[in-house]
Amino acid sequence: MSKAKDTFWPMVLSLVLISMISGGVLALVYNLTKEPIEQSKKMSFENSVKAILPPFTFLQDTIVNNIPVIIAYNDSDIAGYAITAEGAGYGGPIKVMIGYTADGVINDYAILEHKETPGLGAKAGEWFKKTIPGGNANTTYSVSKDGGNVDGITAATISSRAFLKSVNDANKTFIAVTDSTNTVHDDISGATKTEWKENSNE
Amino acid sequence: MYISPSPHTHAQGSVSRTMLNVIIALVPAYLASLYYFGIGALIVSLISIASCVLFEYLITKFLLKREPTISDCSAILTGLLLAFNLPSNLPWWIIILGAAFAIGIGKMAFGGLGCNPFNPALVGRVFLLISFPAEMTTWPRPIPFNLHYLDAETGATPLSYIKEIAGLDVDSTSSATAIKSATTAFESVPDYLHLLLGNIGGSMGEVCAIALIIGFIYLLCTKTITWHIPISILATVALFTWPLYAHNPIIMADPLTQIMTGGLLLGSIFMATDYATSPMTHWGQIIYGIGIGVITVVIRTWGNYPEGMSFAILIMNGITPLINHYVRPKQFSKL
Amino acid sequence: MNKLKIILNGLITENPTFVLMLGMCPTLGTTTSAINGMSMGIATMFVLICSNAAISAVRNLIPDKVHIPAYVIIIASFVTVVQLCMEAYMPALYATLGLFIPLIVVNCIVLGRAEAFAAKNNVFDSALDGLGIGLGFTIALTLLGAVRELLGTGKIFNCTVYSLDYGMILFILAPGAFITLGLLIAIKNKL
Repeated sequence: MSKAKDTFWPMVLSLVLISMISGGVLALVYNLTKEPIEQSKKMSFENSVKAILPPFTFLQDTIVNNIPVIIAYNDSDIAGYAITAEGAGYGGPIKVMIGYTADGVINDYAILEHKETPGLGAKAGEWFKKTIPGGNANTTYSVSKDGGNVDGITAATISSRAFLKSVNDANKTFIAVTDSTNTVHDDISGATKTEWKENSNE
Repeated sequence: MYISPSPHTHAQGSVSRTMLNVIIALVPAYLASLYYFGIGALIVSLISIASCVLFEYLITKFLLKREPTISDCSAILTGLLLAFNLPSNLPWWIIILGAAFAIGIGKMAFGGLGCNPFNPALVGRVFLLISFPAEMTTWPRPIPFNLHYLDAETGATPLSYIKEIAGLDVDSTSSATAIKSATTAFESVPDYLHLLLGNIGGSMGEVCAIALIIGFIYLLCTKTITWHIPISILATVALFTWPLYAHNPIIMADPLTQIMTGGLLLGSIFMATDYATSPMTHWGQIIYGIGIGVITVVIRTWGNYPEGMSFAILIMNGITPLINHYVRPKQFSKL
Repeated sequence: MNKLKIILNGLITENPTFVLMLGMCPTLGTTTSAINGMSMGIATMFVLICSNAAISAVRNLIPDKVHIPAYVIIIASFVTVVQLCMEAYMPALYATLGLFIPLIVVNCIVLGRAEAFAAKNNVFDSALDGLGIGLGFTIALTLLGAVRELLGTGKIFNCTVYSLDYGMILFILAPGAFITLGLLIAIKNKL
């Protein structure tokens, strides 16, 4: 086979042909993977919520005091709440999501975002697993160095303070949420109520 | 003053004489650290020096297959300076890792004495600071003739207190406890007398300002170093922190405290002046010193670590060849 | 015998990481653990084999003046395929490697092999060359990732060898990538 010539039409034709084939292949792959990608995106968010909440059947988004709150339902009963909060850490904001059971016990937490120093503040994701889960939403937490009730991360007091501040903020939001749901049952005043999604394994 | 571009290779006698002068100049600070940190300071410095010398010997003998160069005292000096930059309650295996990194990566990987672009002791320290931040930032309290090593009582350094206050969110509503601890933390920044005498927390060699200044005077008298690098660093730090302090005295220490805390004196007198890694002309040295001062204050004020001196020196070490390129020694005759 | 030589060439003689020093961005950026390094290597290997074969197949249809844009379109298509598949079926891995997957397009190794080998050889040999270079890249990245993971966190392929407390964090950060790569190249040159 002889080499294609460097003239106008061979150049245009070869590029058009290659682009068309590429486009076709990509369209095909895109269509094939569209469904699984959406599925996995949903799963990853749901898994992070699931990891910090007690078992639930479906979730609902609401906004209390301008803070987004996820309420987890077990059929018609409330199973728990997931509340995000933020504290000013050493390298930037530490964004935390705290999961509560319906009666105000902290079930678990997850660090969503942080810029803390590796080996120091970055340990917060593991460090407080021993102390914070099992705690009560009415408790105010502070670092034992400040005379508080929780041992901070070694040599990372600022990160520890920021983390505990976000826990305290989430606690406040939790109390606000439960107050509003208790007084106006089934119809959260001022909250946008959107059916979030059915859990896949019902 | 040597006027030849780095890397330097001098006659053997002159190198070991210089090294010896620096080691002598470090003696007052070493005695002070033995006084404040006791047995811990002794153990840390001995392990550090011994392992630096050992690694230098092993690498030159078995990896580079050269005549071992430990007789020029440079490995001893590296070991001593590394120890000065470590807290005196550091576990032994971390010190050995730091020494291996300082000698192996910081010095020998580049070809040995005079060829290293970065100060080996600081390479070791920064490696340890990044790798073991918890151990490296838990400093023992200074207690005269302390007999504790690993189990020494710990506290914070003045700089980490300052950093903690700066990190507090003063405007937030839930900061009642935070404000309270802010005032206590601020009261923990010691006064000038303690800073001068070294009765503060910190790495073992950096605490006693007066001992370091005595060493500086000795180095100046023996003409081992000139004033240009240390003074330009200290002046830059003072000038740069002064407006910051005037702007917000709660979260910034005053310039004099800034100068006397952390590794600033130790670094500017003993580490930044290393011949192989600093510029050769006076103007070049002043530019270099200003760079170190600015970077130090920037890291101290806005950085992720409470102390930025070692990072600043290493960064300016990297820029030294560039400074040497643009700031050349005066030509006395036209070629 | 000749076929074996093509593979060994990519694996050892012209190892992209240790000899050619190409594709340094993913090499330094993704090797925080052995698994990450290996995944990145395999993704690149897949692109290399496919693009080498495809480019070799169409090499005579493309006029010289437009061969670079044509090659880039082919490479970019395969990279996008890898990216979409990874996002769909391996979301956790995609989250860690993230930006580096689309960056395979600009990896010098891929275009370099297209120019240096696929444009001159037949389809089967080109695919073999892609396999050899890809394997060399994968092994280098896995090795680099394994050393960094071991020194940094005390694990290898997520199996704990020694306690995390003794891990040197520097090695899983960016400077550790440069230092480890330098040491590995030094050892390789000595051998």
